[in-house]
Amino acid sequence: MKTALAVAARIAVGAVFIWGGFQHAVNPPEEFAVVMESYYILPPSYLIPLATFLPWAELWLGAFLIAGYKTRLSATGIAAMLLVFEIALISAKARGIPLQHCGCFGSSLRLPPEATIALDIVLLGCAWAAFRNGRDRWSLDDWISAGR
Amino acid sequence: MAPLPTTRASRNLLAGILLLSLPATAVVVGRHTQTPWIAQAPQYRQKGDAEAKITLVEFSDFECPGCASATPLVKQLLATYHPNVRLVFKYFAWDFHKHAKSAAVAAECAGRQGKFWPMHDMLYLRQGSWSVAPDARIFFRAYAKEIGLNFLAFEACLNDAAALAAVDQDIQEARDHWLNSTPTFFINGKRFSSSMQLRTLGSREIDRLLKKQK
Repeated sequence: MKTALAVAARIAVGAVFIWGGFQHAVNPPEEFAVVMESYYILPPSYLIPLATFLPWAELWLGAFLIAGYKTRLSATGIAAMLLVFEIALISAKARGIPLQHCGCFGSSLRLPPEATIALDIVLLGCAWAAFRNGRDRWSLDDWISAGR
Repeated sequence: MAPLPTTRASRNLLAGILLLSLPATAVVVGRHTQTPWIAQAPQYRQKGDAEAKITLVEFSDFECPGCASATPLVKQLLATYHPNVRLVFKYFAWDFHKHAKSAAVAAECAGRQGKFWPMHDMLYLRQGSWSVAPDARIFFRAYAKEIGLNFLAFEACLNDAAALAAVDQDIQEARDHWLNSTPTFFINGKRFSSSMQLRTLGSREIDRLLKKQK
């Protein structure tokens, strides 16, 4: 039961990161930079380099976690990113910035900030479950550790 | 078929390579669905020297406050780099902006009488009035009179399917090229997805292009 839940958690959080990362990576980075711009946290000169790098981190960490490869490392990376997203969202709300949507999934899904804060908490829980029990027999880590 | 690797190191390597390359391939394929393109617009929606070395394309929504505030910046760039920069204006009306599309049609109709730019300026200048009105067309008619349009022709054009089609064509073009924000600018094809990007990086890009073309 514990293992099945951990696999489900791994797949859920990994799939969300793959989808979000793919949407951002396939679009020009300038589009994602606009999303980050609307949070008024980083100076403009950092936005395009970060908008170029971040989607790849989301995509690869999502793929690693869904496959159960370097599970603990990828779950930690994803949890760290989720925490940063959560802090950015809460800080924007606290500063009264009228965000229409979080911008997490490009134009494919426009979630309001409140829903995203809740989703991030659920995903953090999933990342924790994957960290604790994600190295299961359906993970690549298990297949690798069974090698000589 | 080659046997699967049996050592931990080789399994690790194979898994790593596959997991890095599969998503990357998907992204590369996804990016190639976008075709290279140079935005075009009728002459009346262009400003500046037709032979200019730099083409600045603006996709804009008349009801978007960010687009209204970008107007002085665009004018400043055109003045600073005259005669090297030409502006091409494209419509991109958001569905959630109630009057954005009819404002674009009004501008298109003004353009057909050679007064696109006065209507463009008027729509942005008075955005706060017409955008909150229940019937924005009352305002557009008043603006048409103010800038000296042939009123009957303007009125007929507001209901002309061809004017609406011109607006829809631009919107489709924007969607086909993954535009997700307004205003979006292109300087000789390089994308700047906000006024801030244009303000902070646009001049540098124009300077770079002009230097390259010398």
